[in-house]
Amino acid sequence: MKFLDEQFRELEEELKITDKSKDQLRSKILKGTYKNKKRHLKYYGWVAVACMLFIITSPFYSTTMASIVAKVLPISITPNFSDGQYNPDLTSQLFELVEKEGYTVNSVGITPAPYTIEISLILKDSTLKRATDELEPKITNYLYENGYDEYELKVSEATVPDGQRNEKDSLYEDSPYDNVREIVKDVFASYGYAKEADYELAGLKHTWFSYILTIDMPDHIKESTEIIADIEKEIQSQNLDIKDIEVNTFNFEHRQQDNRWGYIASDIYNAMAGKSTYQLTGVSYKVSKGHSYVSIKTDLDKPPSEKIIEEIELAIQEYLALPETKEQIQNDNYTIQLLLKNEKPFVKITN
Amino acid sequence: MYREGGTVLEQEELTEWFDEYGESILTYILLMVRDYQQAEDLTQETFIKAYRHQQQFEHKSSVKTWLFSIAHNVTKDYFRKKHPLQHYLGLTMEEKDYKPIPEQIVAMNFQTEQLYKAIQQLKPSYRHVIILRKLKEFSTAETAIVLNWSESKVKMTLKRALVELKNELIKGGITNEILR
Repeated sequence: MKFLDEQFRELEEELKITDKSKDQLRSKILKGTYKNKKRHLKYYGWVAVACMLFIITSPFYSTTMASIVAKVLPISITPNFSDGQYNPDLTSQLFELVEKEGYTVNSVGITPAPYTIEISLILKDSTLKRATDELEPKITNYLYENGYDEYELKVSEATVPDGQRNEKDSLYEDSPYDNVREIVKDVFASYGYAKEADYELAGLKHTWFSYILTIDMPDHIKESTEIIADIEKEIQSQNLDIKDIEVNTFNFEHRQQDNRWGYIASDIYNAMAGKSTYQLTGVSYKVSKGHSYVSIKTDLDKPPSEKIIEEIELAIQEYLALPETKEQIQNDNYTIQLLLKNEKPFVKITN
Repeated sequence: MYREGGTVLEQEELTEWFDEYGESILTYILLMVRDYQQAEDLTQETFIKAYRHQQQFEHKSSVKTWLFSIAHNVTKDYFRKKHPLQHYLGLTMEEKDYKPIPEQIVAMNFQTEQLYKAIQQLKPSYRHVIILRKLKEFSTAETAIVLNWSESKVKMTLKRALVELKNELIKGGITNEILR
């Protein structure tokens, strides 16, 4: 079968998708995740006010004041969640901006290193060239006003009309996922574990004939047997297509901490990405032995000026002092670092 | 406090996964479902599921194996919906019609196209095991994880699948001598 093995390798090598098709698929996937996100963004009105305030109050936008701050771009780290609502990130802001210009947006996505903003449009009465000519100056202006000066902007036309594939976007189409998710939430809440129930504790595994419900059980819950029995009863009474339940235990505190720091790391990264002063290339975080580590990676060969380092430290300290951030941090020990290209830290903030 | 929606980290990770494994998963699904548009939809579903369930990934296997397991389940589910009765009765879903190579595939030489055609003629379990073991070069243990089979089942099915594939190639005009 030597010949066949070579043939297999050749087939795998030749099974390449065109770049255009790959880009389209990537855009569809990003759109899928964006939609997921967009459903939870309810309040937009204040954003305009916040942006206006930012533009008015920031010296960066005043020609006179700009000379005083001598090119140190002020960082404003905004928590993605405050006052009980979500603060739209850049993708959401651009989505709104383009829609306000009368275009239908298929997706807005951002990929890091190089920081690339991809906007996919559904064009009805316009050509891509006309749309790009009209939108590009507005988008670049908006980005400039918000301090973004190092990015690639790609505007493209979506090949598949949005409406055609909406049904496919439903991940658990025809599956009992929504029902079991509700059941799991309700049963956990009925035992006084509403906080735990806010986490996605239910999952589904497909088998050839049916589904297996997987439940992530926080290890501090003593009534786990009763909870599973109740879930089982409810599934039977609703006659759902579930043949078995698998239970995996996990440490709730650890997961909570991991979750919280994911958002903190994102907030800090978002405030500096796409801005040439900081040259960010990525972000990572981990929780180890109860200590949270955030590493913001840059493309800098040597540390920036003291002024810039001060600005970064100040912005992070201000962000950490916000009540909503304190609520996220709780009593966690943490280390936040900005790393040079060679991974040596040039900013280190710890408690 | 838990919030849905995903962080930039999760989206970055998703983009990285797509860039690394997207094409491989798409071609795996394409060889299974034999329809490019459908393969694209199922690939999208695979990645969005992975995105939604990132936290359930316990690193017991590699990301690649985990993503292919999701792709396998998504594909299996597609067949289940497409042919509910055959599926219920445990029958194979053989569709002997040949689907031409989609325009989205860059190019293919004659011999590899014959192999592509021959794989398409196999029953799904044979296709799964051949694609994973021979094209995607998963080990027997990894294939067993992706397909949720025992390792011995993977080995046995692969042996049978290769015999069947050889027959298909001979039927298609590739001589026994060439195949050795």
